[in-house]
Amino acid sequence: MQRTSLMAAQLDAFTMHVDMEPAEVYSPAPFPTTSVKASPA
Amino acid sequence: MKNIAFGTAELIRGIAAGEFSAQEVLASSIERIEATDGRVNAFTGKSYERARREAAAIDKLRARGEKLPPLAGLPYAVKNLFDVAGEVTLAGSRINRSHAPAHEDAFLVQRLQAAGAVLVGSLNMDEYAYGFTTENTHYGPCHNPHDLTRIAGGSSGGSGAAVAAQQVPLALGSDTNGSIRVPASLCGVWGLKPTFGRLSRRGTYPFVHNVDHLGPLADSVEGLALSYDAMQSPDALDAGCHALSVESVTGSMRQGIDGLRIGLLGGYFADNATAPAQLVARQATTALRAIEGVDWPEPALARSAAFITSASEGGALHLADLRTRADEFEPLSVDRFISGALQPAAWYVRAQRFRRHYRERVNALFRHWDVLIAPATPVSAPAIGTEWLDINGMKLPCRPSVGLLTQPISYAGCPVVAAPMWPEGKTGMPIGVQLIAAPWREDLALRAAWVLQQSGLAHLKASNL
Repeated sequence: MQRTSLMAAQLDAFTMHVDMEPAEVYSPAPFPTTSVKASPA
Repeated sequence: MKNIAFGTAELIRGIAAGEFSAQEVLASSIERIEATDGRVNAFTGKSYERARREAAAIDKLRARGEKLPPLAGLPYAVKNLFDVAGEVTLAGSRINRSHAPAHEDAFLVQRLQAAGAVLVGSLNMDEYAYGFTTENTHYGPCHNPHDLTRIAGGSSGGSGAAVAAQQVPLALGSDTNGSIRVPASLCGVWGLKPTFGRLSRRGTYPFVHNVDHLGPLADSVEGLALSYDAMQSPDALDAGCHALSVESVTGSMRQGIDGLRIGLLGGYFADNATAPAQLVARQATTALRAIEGVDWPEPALARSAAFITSASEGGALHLADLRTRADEFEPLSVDRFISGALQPAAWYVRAQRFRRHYRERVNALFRHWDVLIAPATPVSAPAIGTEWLDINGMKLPCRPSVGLLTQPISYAGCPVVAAPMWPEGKTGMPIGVQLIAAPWREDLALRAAWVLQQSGLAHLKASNL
């Protein structure tokens, strides 16, 4: 636990800007490759 | 003076036809803001000089006979977590006051400027978007334009109130757990929370990277659709922007609902809604010829997972400041930030594992339905300072519980239109209805919204300000 907390402290010391997103961000579903929507009126 | 700055469709048409200039529209908007915002407290920053330049540019375009962009001359304002070049991005906080001004506009502000819209200012919100009430201690509470003793909802409370007060016809907000839909519901305006990953969040102050959405609040379905179409664009610089192309909705929104399978959510969404909230959902069900009794998969668990995810990511984001200057945080939410930062990692990991399972179940549900209906909030706007809600005999803490009905939906990432409904008819306060579609099917939610607007049931109402 002591060694792990040292590692965590290293990460803590690394400057992270608020807009640095996680490596993977959630996706609700794949973006459709072909639109199934009705054509515009 | 007539408020010519309000009414998206009429305003855009009038400017294009030369009935009034963009500068006249802006002057009307500014006059309305100055006359009402001392009581509403929607605005935390005003960018009138910039707005005058943008409006003048539109008028020059028209004078030269050039084609006007789709939102030419439309006044709008943004929640103060959007970067505005030269302004400090407050995100509702006191701490951020010491930050450097933004060096460029947020991506969506750039998109709206390119579409001809005119930015008039920045709007009040819950600190760091962690709240549903906009009772902001640093900048004062935002007041509901339909009853100044009540909350406007949050966290995009200034955005809902500015549209409801007819200060601007369009405002941008963010929605992690309901922060567009809750103020839309409580202020009686239209709101659109798009699919998670549809609109770029670049240049906005985050709350929860894995759940944050951005979107418009507007005076009409046309206002939602036009602004949403203008803001769409892939953006490789936002890791959470998954859209690969623009899928316009403006052309299809008037197609009606023939052939659409529309249902009303029951169970959790009825149990956690008071009688007026259930009433507006049933009114929408009738107008949209929907079928009652649809079960949403595991909504209570989804709400718990959304709660844990938000607390954990939000707490982690602000950990350094929580350690050193917690006394400068919003007193109404700092405890939630601290407890979120202290949550065991196992809670967060478990919530993420559940989310994958949940996503599959929600997407399976939409193989059978096109649009699903639910109330947007359990109640109409509570009085400012309310600590407890009574929801069908359950005593629940007010501030986190206003989002009971929105959290499960945004955790899946589905697009939702919040439609302004009026359970007491010509008097009384609004409660919104959620029109929910499958991921990437904003077009279907907006088609249902258009029908609801045409029915006369969902609409804005002038406040008595």
